[in-house]
Amino acid sequence: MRSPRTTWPAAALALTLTAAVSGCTAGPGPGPEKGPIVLATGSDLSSTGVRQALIRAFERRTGRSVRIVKLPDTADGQRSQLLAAGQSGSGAYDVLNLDVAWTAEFAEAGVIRPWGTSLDGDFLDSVVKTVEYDDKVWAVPFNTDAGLLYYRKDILAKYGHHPQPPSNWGQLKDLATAVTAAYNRELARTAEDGKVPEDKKMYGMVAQLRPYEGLTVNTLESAWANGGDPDAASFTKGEQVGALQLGVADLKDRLDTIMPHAAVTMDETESRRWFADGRALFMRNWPVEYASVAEKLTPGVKFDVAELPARPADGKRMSVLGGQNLAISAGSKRPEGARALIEALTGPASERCLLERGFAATRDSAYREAGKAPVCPLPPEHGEHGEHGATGQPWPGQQPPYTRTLYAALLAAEPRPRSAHYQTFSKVVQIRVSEYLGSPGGTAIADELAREADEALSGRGAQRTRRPAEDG
Amino acid sequence: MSEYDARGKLNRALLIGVHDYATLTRLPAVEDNIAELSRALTATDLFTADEIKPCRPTEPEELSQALKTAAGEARGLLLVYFSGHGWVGSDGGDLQLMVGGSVPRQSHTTVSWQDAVLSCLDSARAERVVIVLECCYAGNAGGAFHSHRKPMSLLMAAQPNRRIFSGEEPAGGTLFTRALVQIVENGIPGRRFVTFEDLVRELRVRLAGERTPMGDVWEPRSAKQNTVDDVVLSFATPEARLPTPPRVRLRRLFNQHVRPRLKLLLALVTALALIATGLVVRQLLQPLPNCPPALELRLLTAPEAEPTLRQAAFDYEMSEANTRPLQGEGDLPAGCRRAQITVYSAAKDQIDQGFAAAVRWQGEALGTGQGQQDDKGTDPLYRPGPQPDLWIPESTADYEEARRGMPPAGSPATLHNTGPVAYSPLVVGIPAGKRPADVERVGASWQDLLTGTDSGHQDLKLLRPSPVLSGTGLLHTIGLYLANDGSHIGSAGSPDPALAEGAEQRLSAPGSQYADSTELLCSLRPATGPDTVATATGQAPAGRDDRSAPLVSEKSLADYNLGRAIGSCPALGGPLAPDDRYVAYYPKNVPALDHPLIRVDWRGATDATARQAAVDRFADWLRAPDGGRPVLTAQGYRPVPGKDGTDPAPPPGSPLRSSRANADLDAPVIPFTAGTDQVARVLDGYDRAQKPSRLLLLMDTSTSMADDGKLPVALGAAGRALEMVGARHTYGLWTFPDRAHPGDPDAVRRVVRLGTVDPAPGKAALDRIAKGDLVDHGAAMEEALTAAVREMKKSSGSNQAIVLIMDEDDGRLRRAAGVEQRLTALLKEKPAVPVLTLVLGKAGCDTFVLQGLAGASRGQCVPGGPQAPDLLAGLIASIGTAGKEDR
Repeated sequence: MRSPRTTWPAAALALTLTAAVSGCTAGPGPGPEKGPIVLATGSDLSSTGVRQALIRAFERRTGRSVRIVKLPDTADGQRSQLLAAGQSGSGAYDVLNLDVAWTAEFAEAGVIRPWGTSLDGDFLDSVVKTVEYDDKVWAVPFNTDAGLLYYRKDILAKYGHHPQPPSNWGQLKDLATAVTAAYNRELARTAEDGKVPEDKKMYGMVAQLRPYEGLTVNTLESAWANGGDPDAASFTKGEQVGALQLGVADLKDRLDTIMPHAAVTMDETESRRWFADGRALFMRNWPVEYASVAEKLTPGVKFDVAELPARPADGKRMSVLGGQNLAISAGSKRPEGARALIEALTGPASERCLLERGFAATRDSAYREAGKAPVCPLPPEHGEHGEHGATGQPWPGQQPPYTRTLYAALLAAEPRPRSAHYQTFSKVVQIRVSEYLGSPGGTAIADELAREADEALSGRGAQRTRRPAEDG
Repeated sequence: MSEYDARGKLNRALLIGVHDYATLTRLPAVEDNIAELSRALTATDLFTADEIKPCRPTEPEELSQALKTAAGEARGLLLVYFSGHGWVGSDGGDLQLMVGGSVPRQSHTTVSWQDAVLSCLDSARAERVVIVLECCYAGNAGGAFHSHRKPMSLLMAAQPNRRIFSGEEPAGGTLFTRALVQIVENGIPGRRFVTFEDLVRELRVRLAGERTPMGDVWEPRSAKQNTVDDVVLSFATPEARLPTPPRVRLRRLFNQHVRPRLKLLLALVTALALIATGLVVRQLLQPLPNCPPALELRLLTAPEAEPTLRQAAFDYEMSEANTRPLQGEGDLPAGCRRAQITVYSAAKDQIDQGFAAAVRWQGEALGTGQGQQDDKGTDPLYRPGPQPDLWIPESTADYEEARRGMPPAGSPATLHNTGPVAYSPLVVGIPAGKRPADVERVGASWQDLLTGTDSGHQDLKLLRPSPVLSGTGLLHTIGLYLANDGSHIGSAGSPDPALAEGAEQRLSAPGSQYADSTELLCSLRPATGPDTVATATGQAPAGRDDRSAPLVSEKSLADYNLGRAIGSCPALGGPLAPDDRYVAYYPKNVPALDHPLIRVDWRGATDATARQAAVDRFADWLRAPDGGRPVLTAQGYRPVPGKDGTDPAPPPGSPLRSSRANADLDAPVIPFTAGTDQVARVLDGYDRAQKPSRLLLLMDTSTSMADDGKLPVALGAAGRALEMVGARHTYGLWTFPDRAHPGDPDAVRRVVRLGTVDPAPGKAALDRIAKGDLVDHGAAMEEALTAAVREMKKSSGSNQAIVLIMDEDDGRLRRAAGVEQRLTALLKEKPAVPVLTLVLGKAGCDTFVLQGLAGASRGQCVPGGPQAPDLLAGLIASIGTAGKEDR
């Protein structure tokens, strides 16, 4: 979903840095498996930062070396390459770093092997769902993510007379409308020509509506907020169609009323840029963007984060789970090493390190208060060069300010449909919903969208014999 | 009025009643309707007991099937009766009959009156059809009631847009049907039989005392199609009943006793067929087996073609071609998708480098690390990305060029050219108000066009995408050199160096070349918004000065004129104003982009056979008139010739057919005929026509660059710049601030000497920076730039530029007075040294300082972002162009 730009040489920096700080002691001799453990990742593993440091710590402790293969720079490219190479029977990779949405497909395609044992109870229940498929565990959660509502605390307090975020989506829209109107009016009064320049104007909200995985995520969250069931096996059965229709209609309504039109071209980075530049009152985004926003706006004063608005029926605040899982490649010739590496990278101490350096940890224990939580063994890294997205200000030895909110959001978060055909499903949603967002509106798309979504998830083709009617 | 008498004929009465609903209110009274009506109908002298078919459907298919059967069997009168829930769309149209499993607004669970019922009945073999609808909104059936030839009578239980209170009456059926039964069973006093019209009249009388839920009188309605006659529905009468005429008796005798035996054999066959159908239906109703993940195909293409191919690939995934069973491949459950396709794109030079380093590509993909030893800094698995199973470049020239760069033997990748999939002629876009006199749009040679647009005539700036980075740019260059006088390009001719140089003289100075043709057009778009590249580069869009003439493809130019999405520019609300559009001129005998589909086989793939077959199937579909061809032509491409070799015209609906596209469909598609050697010679000629160029990379290496993910973007862009250097295009790399003189704002670190040919020391230096070779000190940008400009101005060469990579922290707070003025004055001095600035950070190029720099130096500013490296590469590619700098 995200396409981090990373540099291979930066990897060596962490090595030199950590080696210089902690000294480099070789562990016991290598096991019976030969050669370095090959870790294939498209994510920011190969840049500096905490995940890199954890790998180096593993190398020091075990004496085994890890070779990192840098995959294509887009998530689509990574998936395509790993899957196709797996199907072609090639690939001497040992560990694959996989997006949480790919587990089912990679398991079905025989590209990864079952983990073999169940995961310990410390992993968050919602997160564990992303590694389960067909009653088996296929991977270990590495880092997770849940959507949060970023809001301008200062502006809400000044114009909305209350610094608290709205509790549901209806309230959000009303608040956004009223507050931005007041804010922009005042801006116009102080402007020389009485007009607000476009790049200063405050919009109600920004989100990720470009036709890519982010649009699927926002669509699912909106459907869930309207009564959709994340565990439903079909989008055409029972209440699901209605929830889907209300969900996309809500999304379009927000786009047409409180979002800038440019939201249909925004991804995580671009929407964060708008929010951090003071051009939006609310933003839906992942916690990894917190540090970047905090560079421009004072956290806790100018902005803050909350769970996503609740759905009125039951007060649930469901977000889509993001993140990555580590799996052992089916063709691995070093499965023991691979297992050891994954266990090390996802252990309680490692997860605490991840949390302290800006990632969302997958273990419950990582979220305990300092003193009760496991201790991150990594030395603080001065002059750490930020990874894309999770940057700048790590919080070594303590937890980031959004931790409680994130923890609550993770407990309520849900995985995307777990299907071997998720990718096609997501393409259907992206194509149909972006068409709908760009249309004059007024038409119901849910029947057709739901039918196509079900077809996509079933792995079968479009059934052309049934022409969907307009209504009724 | 005559009355149709169906006695003794093969009649059918299909009685459909739904009382048990899964999601809607149950209608208990309907349960009795069918039995009551069955009884009554046998008393009409029209139907025998076995001609009456009750039906209680829970699925739409059951109803449709029963309807079909009845429609096929009846020869005389066909009576269709429906009692149950009805539903209409918000506009009151499209009445849906609800069966047991129906859910409102889910059209596939309901039966459409118009689409399913009427269309079926229209093809019935009966002489007369009578339909009775008793449901909510039954009256709305009249609106869509149609019949091409079949005489039909329709009785609707109520007037339009009315629901009816019904369904919960005590035993004996619903109110309406009870009345109906009584009339049919007992007849009407004073009448010897009951016709359709009689029935309608009598029902109105009997229901006159009832009300609809809206409070008005309940009034059954009727309608007729293709007939003015009436039809007898019952011979019951309270009066003395007349004897049945002999002809009717005879006919009845024949139909009831002789005909069935004649048809015994047929009936047997039919029965068998029905059983078979039943078995198939049962099979279909069973849950389908799960589909395994489809075979993943990786489709690499040029950025220009990516949006169209993405759409085509998705259509293919869901198409019948990708899901129908194949002979010899019975391993997949029925209906499963066989292939899925991921479409991605990369710049031409990166694709060439990828194929040239296929060993490393494969080595990284296998995880063996093979190919690292001859690592020239390329990392093909990272970019272009996945190992393609198929590659669709813009033209065959791109394919020839890639093949030329591959080792003659030992490459793990083998390329198979399967031929073109879509065409787009190459064009020159001439501003609508600047059309040269006496130059034909179609048929004029390049020579004529060059003359008509030169400074003595229309004085236009010809803008071409880089031949190194873009397939459109390469093919345009081939056209310019080899078809200069409008003659046909043979497979042997060599470019005339003087001609090449002359042509290159006309292609403009720095800033004219872009990574690809769609980005070039995007930069020319008038009235660009704040988010588009054109204003972000800090210059007024060139389109506004009305002198730009882009060398692009017909498809791209049509997209531009029609205001469709192009490059990173989003779609506009509609076509551009006439004066803002370009008119397509088609230089004579210049080959068209032909988009060949290249299958790429990778050594060692265990599924090679299946993979190749999957690629070939997609390739066939892409060219098929009922497959991908309409998808491609709908996006503005010209179709591939049909099997008979004729050039099909773009179909109706093609954007090229819009008069606002300013395309000319009379322009022919010229196939690509140049040989491999010719492509190489053209590129050599292009290289020779370039003046040697000098590039100075000036990079901010203060620690602030490490924040917010700026460093990887900066290093990526600098690395991309180094890919552009070579024997004739030398470079140097300086960084600031200088670690050795942290206090001196004027100090710069000369890391790689100016005039260096080998990119290796530059790459090594970038590696060191990536590893943290940063200076924790403020960066004095203007001071460092002054030093750089001074150095560059020592040379009189005109083909040089400075690439400045920096962030927002440019040290302006500590700057001494007058630095900026002196720098600006220096920049304006001859020779010009354009400053191409990549600025990372929030404000982008939107500051006076950066716009001033770009203006004074005739350079450009590029904001950081995913496209920044390629955008910068396009600007750098034009430094060496031989154009006159001051036009």
